[in-house]
Amino acid sequence: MMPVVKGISLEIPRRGIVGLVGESGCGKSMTAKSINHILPSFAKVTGGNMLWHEDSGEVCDFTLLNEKEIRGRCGTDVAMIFQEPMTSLNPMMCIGDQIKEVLQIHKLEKNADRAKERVIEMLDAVGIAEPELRYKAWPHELSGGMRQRVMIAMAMIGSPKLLIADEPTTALDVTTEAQILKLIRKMCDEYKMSAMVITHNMGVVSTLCDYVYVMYLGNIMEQAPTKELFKNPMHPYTKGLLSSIPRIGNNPEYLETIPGSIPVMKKQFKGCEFCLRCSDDIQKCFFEKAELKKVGPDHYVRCHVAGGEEE
Amino acid sequence: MSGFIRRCVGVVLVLFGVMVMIFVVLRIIPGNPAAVLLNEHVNSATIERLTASMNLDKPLPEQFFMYLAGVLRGDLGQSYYMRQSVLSLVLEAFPYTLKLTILSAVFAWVLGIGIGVISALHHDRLPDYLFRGVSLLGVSVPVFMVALFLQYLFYFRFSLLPLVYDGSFESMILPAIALGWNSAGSVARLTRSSLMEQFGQPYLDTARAKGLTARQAVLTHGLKNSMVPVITMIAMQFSGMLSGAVITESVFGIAGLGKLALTAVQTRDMPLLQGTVLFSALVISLGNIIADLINVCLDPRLRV
Repeated sequence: MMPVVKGISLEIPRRGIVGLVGESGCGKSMTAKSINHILPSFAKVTGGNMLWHEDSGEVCDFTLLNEKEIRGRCGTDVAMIFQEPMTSLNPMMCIGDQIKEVLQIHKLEKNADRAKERVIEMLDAVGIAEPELRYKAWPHELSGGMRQRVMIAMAMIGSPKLLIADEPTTALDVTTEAQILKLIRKMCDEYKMSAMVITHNMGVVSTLCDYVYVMYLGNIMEQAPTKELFKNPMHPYTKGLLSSIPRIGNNPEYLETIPGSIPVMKKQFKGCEFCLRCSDDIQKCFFEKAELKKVGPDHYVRCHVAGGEEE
Repeated sequence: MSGFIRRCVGVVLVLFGVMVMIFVVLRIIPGNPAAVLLNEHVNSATIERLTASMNLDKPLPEQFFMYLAGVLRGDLGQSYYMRQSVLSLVLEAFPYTLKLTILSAVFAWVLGIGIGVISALHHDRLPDYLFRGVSLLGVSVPVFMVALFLQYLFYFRFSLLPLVYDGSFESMILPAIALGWNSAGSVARLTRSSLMEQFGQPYLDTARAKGLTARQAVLTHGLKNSMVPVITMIAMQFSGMLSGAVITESVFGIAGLGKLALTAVQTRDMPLLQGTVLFSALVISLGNIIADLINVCLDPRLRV
């Protein structure tokens, strides 16, 4: 067994929107899927806690729940939307029935007519025109943006307290992306919901999130409030990510990139995972992992170099 | 809808092709049916007279068009041997074959899909290995072997069921199992692989994120998505059973279409054989159209 994500600590405040940023393959989706226990069969959570604070003040550890208990919470406490809205919808079921299924599974609405009405109201709320007609639409009849709206409706109909959005706009074009992000923001405000947004797109983070975690190879490298992170990035990886965003008015011949690509980790590595691609390479980084240290209010970074020498 | 009409035109063309083929093949075989009918020891004048009265002395194209004109009028000709209208013989035999085929198809599908689903859910564990072995046996053992084995087991050993068909439902059970055995095996194998292809599809994750357990997600969402190839195969097998029933019907003495065709071959009864083959082709074509219609109902993406 090879660790994919290790020792990460996330905190999602009530009604807060938290971003989890990183390159492909760094463990973002694995982190998300571990929360509602939909990891692929080859992956397993081997340690740690996932603490869920109920409104009543009780605390529940999601890692200890069995399949039946966690399924009872999926859809009503934790909902999820996925990257590929085409393949994430069942191609052989009309969209209305797929949304209604949430109400049926959790017995949220016993009256069948009323359930259908609620689905239509929800389709309307996520901005689908002519919801009564669209109820019977098949997934392949809708555009990518519409499908993602259907996914959002499906996630919202159980009034969850936490929405996990796993790269919600990656498969969409830029204008649709903006609309979908606005919709997610609106839903979070209206339903007083927290959200965890997984993305590799710094633009998504800046428009949507209050607080950001930067992930690299299964580790949190830096965490800070969004404004602070964009103004004052500390970790060389965060700096690299931010400097590779094209900016209006600044026309370089080439965009900045982070040299190299994510290394394949065959066995446990003692040093800092980023040292092979880091601009400040000092010997210590190869042998010793840095601890997460505080560099400002709510701003933490895992680096030997950034933020001054450790004591 | 235009697709449906195209399919119907296709069926007509297929039936015409079948008619031409069976007609030509039956005439290529050496020997005069009139002689077979009258046995060896008759003088040649009698044979010639019978040949002429059966129109066998006319040129082949003329014979064919006479036959075709008859078919279009709904007249499949007279059986040489049984001295009855072929159509009435076929319609009399068909219900038996249909009953046998439906019963064995139900047996095959229920067993095959059930085993396939269990195998897929427990893939690469004991139940899967066990059922995969059983279904391999199902695919590879020939019908007559299964039939004889069932007769031995359920009649001679345990006397639970009748040896041959006697009109009762119980006597139809063994033939149905014998005929359905092979299909059950291949349906099980296809269901297993088709369902396992669905594993790891993102929509199953969505279903679990909604609150369904992994098993519920597979059984409600995955199973429906995996059924299109299975239904196509089932339809082909249904047709196969209608014609493959020759052996089963002979072993269990059922007076169905297969038995009729066999008799026709043995007695060189050309009109009867042409009639049974043509009728089987019609039933098979209709079966395929029905399978397509079912798939269109199941999978909205096929409705263009």
